[in-house]
Amino acid sequence: MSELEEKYRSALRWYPAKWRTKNEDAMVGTLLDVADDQHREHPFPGELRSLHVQGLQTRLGIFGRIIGAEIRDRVSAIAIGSGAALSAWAIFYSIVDAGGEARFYQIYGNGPISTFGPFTSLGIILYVLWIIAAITAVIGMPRLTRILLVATFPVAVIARLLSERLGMSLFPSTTTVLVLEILATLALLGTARANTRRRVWIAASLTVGASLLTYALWSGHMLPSTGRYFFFERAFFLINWPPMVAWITAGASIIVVACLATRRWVWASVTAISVLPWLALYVYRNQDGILFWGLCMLVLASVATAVSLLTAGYRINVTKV
Amino acid sequence: MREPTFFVLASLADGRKHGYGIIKDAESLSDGRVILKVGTLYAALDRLQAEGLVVAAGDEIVSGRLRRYFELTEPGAASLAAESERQALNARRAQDRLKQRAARVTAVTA
Repeated sequence: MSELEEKYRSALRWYPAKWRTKNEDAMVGTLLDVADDQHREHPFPGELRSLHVQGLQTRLGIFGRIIGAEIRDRVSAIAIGSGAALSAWAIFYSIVDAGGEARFYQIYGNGPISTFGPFTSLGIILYVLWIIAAITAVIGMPRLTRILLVATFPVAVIARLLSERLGMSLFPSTTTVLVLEILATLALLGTARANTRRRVWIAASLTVGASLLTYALWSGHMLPSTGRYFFFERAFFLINWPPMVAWITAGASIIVVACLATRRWVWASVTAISVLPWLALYVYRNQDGILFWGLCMLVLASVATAVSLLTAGYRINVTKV
Repeated sequence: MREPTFFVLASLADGRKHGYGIIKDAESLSDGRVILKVGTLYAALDRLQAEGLVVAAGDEIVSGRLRRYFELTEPGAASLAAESERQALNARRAQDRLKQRAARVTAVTA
């Protein structure tokens, strides 16, 4: 086996095993034919990157067989909008002088803290990557959007590990990273194509609106002695504030029921799927009421799955034997 | 239908082809605009097979390499015909409008 073939086969490990069994040899043959035609003995870096991205997409595409493209594309656009809004918010509280977590510890903590320049932590790289991904989605560059979203996974891990290695005082929050990667996964399930711009903006506005409302209604981070607010990530994630989660769940449920009643099947499924990451986050961070919120998640996930299967053409055939 | 998919189907319209053949043909049919990456091609072929528009049409070993051939199905040909008609209709309408515009410009300048 030539070195070139080995490199191609290695890149194809990004594809699912079942897919490789069926297509690997034919695909390697084509890759080698193309390389011969271009008189190459080494793969183009972009060529391998493309195989990695396609492999990952194929893995995610297993869900695509169950959830129709129309649902996935809408969920994708909403996830991109939510992720971008969350990242914009995170960038804001990452600026030390804007009154973020780093500023709080600088004033009220024990001793000096190290920051990443004017930003709280290396998480800023992840947040900026997300913003660029959303911009590319809005201006209609879906391929670049996908590459950037895929890049957020290693960047999140590296930012976290590097922060610890460099002995930085604050790390990108696990919760922030978790929700951004859940949203990136949802975004990668589809391709934000038709009406992307409008959907991204609506999702971003709703997310920012919900977070601002949380701050307005909940003064948990206002220090009474100073009257100053410090923008911590926790507030954004509605922790210790079950009513907000209840409203979001109730609101989403009403929308789902309304969509089902008016036979807007796709939007019923899209709404149920889009609200799941936020409920999952609440269950992850706040073990109180885990049973109730877990049940809500289960109901919404069941509705989303059932509607998705029905819109994809699946039917249950019950026969009497 | 996206442009790469259109050219994959168009490439198979005159008979079965293997992956590399489709890439070269799509490039030629699109006057060099559509240069399919191998990963993109196989993703498209996988999807088109799942939709019943394309089927695998035999494997051959050439110089130790596997060449898998693909061919258009009847629904695939119908889908390509419908998309071609749609594009032709769009082109005709655009040309009509351009002719109207040219006539208006001529009338104004005359």
